[in-house]
Amino acid sequence: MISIEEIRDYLPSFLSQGSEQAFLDEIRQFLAKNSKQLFYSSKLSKEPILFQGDGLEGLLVINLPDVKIRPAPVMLFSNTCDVHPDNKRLFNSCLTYAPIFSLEKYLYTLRKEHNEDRVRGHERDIRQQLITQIFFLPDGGRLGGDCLVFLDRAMSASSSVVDRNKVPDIRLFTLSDFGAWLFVLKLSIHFCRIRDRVDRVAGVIG
Amino acid sequence: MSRPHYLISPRSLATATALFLSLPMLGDPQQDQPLPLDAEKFAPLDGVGDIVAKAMQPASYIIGKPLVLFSLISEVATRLVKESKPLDGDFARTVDKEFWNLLR
Repeated sequence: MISIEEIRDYLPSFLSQGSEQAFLDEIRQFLAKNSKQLFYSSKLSKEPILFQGDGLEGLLVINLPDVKIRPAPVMLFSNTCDVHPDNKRLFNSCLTYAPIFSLEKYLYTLRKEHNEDRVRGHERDIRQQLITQIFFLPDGGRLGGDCLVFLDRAMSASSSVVDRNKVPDIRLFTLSDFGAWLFVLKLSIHFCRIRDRVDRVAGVIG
Repeated sequence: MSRPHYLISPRSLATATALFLSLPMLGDPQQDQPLPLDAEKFAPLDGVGDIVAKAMQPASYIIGKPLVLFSLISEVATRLVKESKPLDGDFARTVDKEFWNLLR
């Protein structure tokens, strides 16, 4: 059985008492399937730092094999510390990010090709964060509507493409403690789930 | 030879006293704070004081915020791991086709 001290190792240790309560409230809202939960924090909006999970306007996006490149809103996957310029390393970390899509446009397009019940069920799964490839972003910050990010459509660029002094101007949102925790959890499930039913030694694909 | 009366041994009495002394912790808003481990609180209990203090410390956590938080994040993680499903291939193809038009 897990000990109490081990339990503490799994909890976000940086939370102040007020933040811990906010985290609890948000997690309860999530479990109650309230998609209008508080998901963002405005406390860091003026910071010239890229935080993991930040929404940023105007980074270059590509959709290979299409070679067209355009600026678009993106969500940053990179770890905050990895891309902080003050952390000197033998090599510079790149920014990993994925484009942000409009949920309204996505559903509208799906409805042109698929039946309503199927699309409605898909929308419900998205809002409950139950699609492994999708991170749902409820309207907030400067998003201007519900959005989504496909975790399997990530790309990278040099860290120098973002002038840190201009980050507050291009930032669309910063996730709350709960939002950031949920984002990392979904990234982990998307990339690291070990229930892929592949026995690599026996060569059996389940 | 008579059997020892464990239930009324001095050690049992000391343990019961320690439990009684700690009961107010149940209603304390700071109940997620660990109990002091120093010998002062349980000094009257002599040698068993430290043992009782250590035994009581987890109890104070269990009813506090950390366990609630742990329980809730476990519930979220379990739900996502067990109930998540992959994106329907038909929907993914729509994103491939309409990529630039669907951006926020």
